[in-house]
Amino acid sequence: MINFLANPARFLKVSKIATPLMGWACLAAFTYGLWLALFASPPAVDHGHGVRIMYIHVPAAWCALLAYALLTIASLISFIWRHPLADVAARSLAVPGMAFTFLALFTGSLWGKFAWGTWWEWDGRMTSVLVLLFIYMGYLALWQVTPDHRRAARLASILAMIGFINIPIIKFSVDWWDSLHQTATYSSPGAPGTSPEIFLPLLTMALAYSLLLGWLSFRSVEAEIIRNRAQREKNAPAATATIEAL
Amino acid sequence: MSVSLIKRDIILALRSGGAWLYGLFFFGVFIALSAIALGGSHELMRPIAPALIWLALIFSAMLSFPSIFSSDFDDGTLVQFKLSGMSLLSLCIAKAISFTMLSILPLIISVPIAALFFDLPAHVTFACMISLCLAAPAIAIYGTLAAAILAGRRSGGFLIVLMTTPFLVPLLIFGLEAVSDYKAEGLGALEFRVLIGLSLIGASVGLPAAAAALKAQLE
Repeated sequence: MINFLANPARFLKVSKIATPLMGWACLAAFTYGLWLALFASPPAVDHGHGVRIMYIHVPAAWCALLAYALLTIASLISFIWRHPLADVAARSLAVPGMAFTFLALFTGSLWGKFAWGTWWEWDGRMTSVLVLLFIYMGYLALWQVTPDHRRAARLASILAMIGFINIPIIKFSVDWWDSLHQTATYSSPGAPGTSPEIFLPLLTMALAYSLLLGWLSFRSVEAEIIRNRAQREKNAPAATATIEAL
Repeated sequence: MSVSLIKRDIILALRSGGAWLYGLFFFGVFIALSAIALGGSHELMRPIAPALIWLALIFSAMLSFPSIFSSDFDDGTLVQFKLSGMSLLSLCIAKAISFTMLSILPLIISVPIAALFFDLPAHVTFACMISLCLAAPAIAIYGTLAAAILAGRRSGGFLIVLMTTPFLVPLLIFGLEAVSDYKAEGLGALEFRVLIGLSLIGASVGLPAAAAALKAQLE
């Protein structure tokens, strides 16, 4: 699979079908999910209509982490096999990942004002997501300042992998502080969970966000391949002119 | 081989006309400016003094990070090291050790003087120095890593701060928790052990990564 996609032409062939499919599926999931979240689901007992922010906030935070995990896998592949598309994929995942992180912080701040009466609180989870935003910023800045693409790919993949190892350490250290944010509702064992009328829109929105992430990063990889190709063709005319003269 | 490299770095620093002391000056200026900004009241500053000392040290170290590889990269010494068949890992170990000795150790030694400015009790000063000593290897190693990743970049100064921040956040949290728990629990406080652990993780993960980054820079 990794070898199959290494060829840009083959990747374009796959993405020609996969990208529009993801795009339309994403649109459908967003339409259904937003309708469920904003109109069909009941207001929560102790949050009222403010709970609707959660349907934007929680999937954004999940997908910000998902994007970083995928970015690390792509970096690993790029580092070990010097896979030409994996580094492009890693970079393409970073931009939507950073946007999701920002969205999670922004909506979290709105919800925090609503639920706790404060825009920002230095609790464990918010701090760790803020640090995740810094990691994304450093990663993208490294791509910006390194002119040579291959070297940038290699250095960025090292940074991404070390950053990934550090995420649990950062999480552990900021949890050391007293936490205001509720603990993991779904993932931890013995977690309370919620009723299905809240869980279903949340799941649909998470699906929609994941599809959006996939669509954006596939489009971005396509754009990079086409840009490289255009670059190569732009350098070509001098050569073709001499061939025509001969 | 590492020992001779450390010796070389120290000799170069000593003959640089005092450039290795700039970090120490910055440390002093940062502390003086914070005291002025806070109005100079001992009652106000005493509880936050360990945090200010930690911040002064971290910012001073961050400003020194770019110099770890910059001159060796610019004049081609790094390429010669690589051509001589030397292990880049031992180079990174040597750089981290010489950075600790030249840029962090003088600051830790001057912590008692900073403590005088803030009128800190002796046990807080001692806890501060111990926590900084335990965190110093991790600070130096992540600095070496970021310097290796950004070697040869002109705009590296601000970027190196952004890049090392995520790695220094756990150190800052546990370092200051260690200072506040020292009074109740002494050196057996859990946070001191966590700091040692963070330094060990840094050594096992950051040093090979720094070597790999140097290799990528030189290929």
